[in-house]
Amino acid sequence: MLILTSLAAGPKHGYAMVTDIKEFSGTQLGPGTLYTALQRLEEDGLIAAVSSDDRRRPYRITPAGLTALRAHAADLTRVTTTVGKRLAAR
Amino acid sequence: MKHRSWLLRLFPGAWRERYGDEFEALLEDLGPHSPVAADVLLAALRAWLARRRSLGSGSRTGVSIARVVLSLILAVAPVATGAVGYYLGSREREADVPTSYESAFRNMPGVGTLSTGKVTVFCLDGATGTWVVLPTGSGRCPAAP
Repeated sequence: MLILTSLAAGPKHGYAMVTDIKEFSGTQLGPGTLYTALQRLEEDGLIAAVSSDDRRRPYRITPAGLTALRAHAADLTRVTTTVGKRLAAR
Repeated sequence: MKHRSWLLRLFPGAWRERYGDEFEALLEDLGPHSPVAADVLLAALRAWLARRRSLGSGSRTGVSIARVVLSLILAVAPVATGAVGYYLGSREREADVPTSYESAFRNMPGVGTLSTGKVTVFCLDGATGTWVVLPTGSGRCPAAP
């Protein structure tokens, strides 16, 4: 979800994703973790590589990726809403 | 940044062909001092396991497992060597403290850096002949007998 969120703002290469994710979530993704996730997301069709002559290949989120991200966001919203209600009741 | 290129050799050939250049570029961007070895090792292990799954069980399975184990050894060896070296270095630094200060600072407080990197004040205990850390706020060593 972190990667999809990062790419929702536009295509990025690996290092740009790492810095962006660190900035908005505080999570420091290691290079191996990042590329394991990129491979899986690419195989699932949620992201796609952007053709580039640079070694730092950018990735973009696909329409299926946007759908998955919206679903994740809705799940999170439900959870946070429930947390808020239950905390307010105490 | 070629000194980290060996990390790429931990991954299956097909993975290197697809992601190798960009992964190496990312390692360059992260800089030489970022701790990535364990993270990359786990990723390589996952890549080999994923490749084994994609190939299915067959004669190549044994080869793949052997490569996983070999990759593990190749990745852990430098880390383990570094850890042992650091440990031995720490022991050596600790051992150096008494010998380097003993003659000059008997019954006088000494200031040194132990293996933790923390500055510590210590005294030579005349009764036991060992070095003891001076309690915080105390500026004098106990008198020797």
